[in-house]
Amino acid sequence: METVIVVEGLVKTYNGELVLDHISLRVRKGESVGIAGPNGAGKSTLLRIIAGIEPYDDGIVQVKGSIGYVPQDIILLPWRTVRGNILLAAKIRGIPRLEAEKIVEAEAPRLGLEEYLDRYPKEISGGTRRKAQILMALALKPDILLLDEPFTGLDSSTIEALQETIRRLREEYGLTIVTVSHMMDELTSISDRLILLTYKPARIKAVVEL
Amino acid sequence: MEAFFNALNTLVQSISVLVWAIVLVMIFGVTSRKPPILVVTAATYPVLLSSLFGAVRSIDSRIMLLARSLGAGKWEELFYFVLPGTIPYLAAASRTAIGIALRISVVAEAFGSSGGVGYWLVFSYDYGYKEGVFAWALVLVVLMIAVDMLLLRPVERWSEKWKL
Ligand SMILES: Nc1ncnc2c1ncn2[C@@H]1O[C@H](COP(=O)(O)OP(=O)(O)OP(=O)(O)O)[C@@H](O)[C@H]1O
Ligand SMILES: [Mg+2]
Repeated sequence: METVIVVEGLVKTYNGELVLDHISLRVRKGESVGIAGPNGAGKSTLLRIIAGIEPYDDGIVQVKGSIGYVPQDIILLPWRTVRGNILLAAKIRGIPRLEAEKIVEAEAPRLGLEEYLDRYPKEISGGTRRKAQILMALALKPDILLLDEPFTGLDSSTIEALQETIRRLREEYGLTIVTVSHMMDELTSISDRLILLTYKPARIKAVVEL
Repeated sequence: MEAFFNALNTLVQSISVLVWAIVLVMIFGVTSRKPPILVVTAATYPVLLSSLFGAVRSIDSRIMLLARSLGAGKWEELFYFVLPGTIPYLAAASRTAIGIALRISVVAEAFGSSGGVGYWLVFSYDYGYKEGVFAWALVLVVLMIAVDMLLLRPVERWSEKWKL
């Protein structure tokens, strides 16, 4: 399969401190790759760089295809409902409204989001907000899904539903998925490959084919 | 941009509202409607502008991250992500600004116009109508309370929803 993410010798520093030290990885289309490492290792930084929203110091980062990015810190516009947030995101990405609505209709029940679609972010729980953010990324019909700690704050039945959703999306759409998490078991169950990062600075410690 | 407005603010604010009223009346004449409007503008826009800048600055950087991750253009960024976030701040500032505006427009009217509460207040005073002075002062107080309670406070409360 064709390679859709190439990271080659990536170096990132914050205020002179080395955070990512020559990270290299490749992800093929339809693959699901998990990246694990201790808190503060640089997982989120790496994902933001792949998402194209964080500058880096050196190296090559190439991404082929549109991205749906789910940040570790949930960001929803407080002045729009969950549905309003999702439809705005889709609109900005140029996804026709009907198509976005169809995805919301289909996926919201599976994530247990149905009854919260018309609520404001302030009125729903943290776990529900995370699900909303995930649904928002799905509604963008991305080629590549980048998930930063997607399981945090979710109950076990929602985690299972999310894992199921991820597996299904891969089968149905050939979606490529990169998930960053410190929750190893959950990560393992959705990944074909696990990349382990060292702590300060982050280097690739091991790659495990699952 | 911000530095320019700050400099302009300092200039406008360092000169008393009273002086502005007199200067503008001299320029435009007593019957013109412009002095009250201009004086009010001069007195209130610093409040609004500084709170607008404050609001834009206080916009959560994560919101801009969301805009960027979606690939929003400059106008989309402004229209969907920045401006809505400034509304609660502007609503709060408007309450202050309108309070200032009402008080100052009375001063401006007193000097240079041929109508309005300020004009009638001074008119009554000049002709020794004690009741008139009190009546117009009362009108003024009631007007300010009414505007605040019926318009500004509900708007401010409504706009809370837009806050992070
Ligand atoms: N905007 C920033 N400015 C300065 N330093 C930063 C910034 N973002 C991250 N860092 C630093 O970079 C390092 C990696 O942070 P990052 O958030 O990528 O780690 P992480 O592996 O995602 O951690 P966690 O498991 O807690 O989410 C940390 O030492 C952090 O302090
Ligand atoms: Mg992180």
